[in-house]
Amino acid sequence: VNALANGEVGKYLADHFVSSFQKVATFQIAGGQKQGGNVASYFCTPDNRVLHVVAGPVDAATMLREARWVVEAQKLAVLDSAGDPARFNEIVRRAHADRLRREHGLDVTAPDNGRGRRALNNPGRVHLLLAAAPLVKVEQVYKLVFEKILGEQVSTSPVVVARQ
Amino acid sequence: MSLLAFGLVAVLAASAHRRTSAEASAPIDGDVVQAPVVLPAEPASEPPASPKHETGTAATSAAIAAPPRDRETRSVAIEDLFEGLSHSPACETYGTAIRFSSRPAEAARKAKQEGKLLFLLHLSGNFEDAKFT
Repeated sequence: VNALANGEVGKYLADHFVSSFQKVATFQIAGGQKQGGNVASYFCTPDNRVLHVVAGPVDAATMLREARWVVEAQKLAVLDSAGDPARFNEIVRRAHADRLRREHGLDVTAPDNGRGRRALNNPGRVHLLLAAAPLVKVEQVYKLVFEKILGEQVSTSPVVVARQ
Repeated sequence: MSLLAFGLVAVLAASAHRRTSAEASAPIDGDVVQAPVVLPAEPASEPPASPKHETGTAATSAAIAAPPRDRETRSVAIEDLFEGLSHSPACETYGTAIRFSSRPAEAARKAKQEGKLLFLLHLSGNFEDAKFT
């Protein structure tokens, strides 16, 4: 969330996005210390289809880089697809597959799909997810992101302050 | 003979009359004349008349069609009642450099209207309260 306090990030997001938030999990406060809790930043089309996710807290430079990448990739996809939704879908899928190969060394087009080659960090897992299911709806994927990528349980419980 | 001639004239006259009335309601295909379909009369569906409504109908319609000056005044007054009581304003920054709408559906609608994308933050805890985020 600290990245979102950065002025440059704020201006860029205000120029290209309308922002909102949703509580999907909780954490515990014990002895004044926060235990658990996480954050996922979704970049979506206006109909809630996920273009990209930043899983976990990041610094301002990373948030700005990812936001710019989404905006430019989406603009290019709009241009190239010429109004064809299937082509738009394919361009977004390829964009994630390209980053997965270049930045994480995993080629999903390889004969073995690159399985078992190496462990993936959170950004790598996000690219793998969106290369497999581009433009998936937020409501279809948020549990998977929070529970399988971030390792937090989705919960409607309020924040609990544990007694000493 | 004259009786036969009269009968022929009467038949021709009747045929001509039937054709003219049929032409007015349906096209004629060759020599076949299709009789117009006549639906049974529907029962009257008007609400039972009451002297109270009859006298005020025109005035009531005019009041609905006209700008509802008194109704506007009433809705503003109701909004005034809730002013300052809202605990979740439509847009807030919550200590960030971004204005957040508290309702994702509303943000999605706004993004569509403004030709923008949607930035949606999913988090643990209460975003509105810095201690619980």
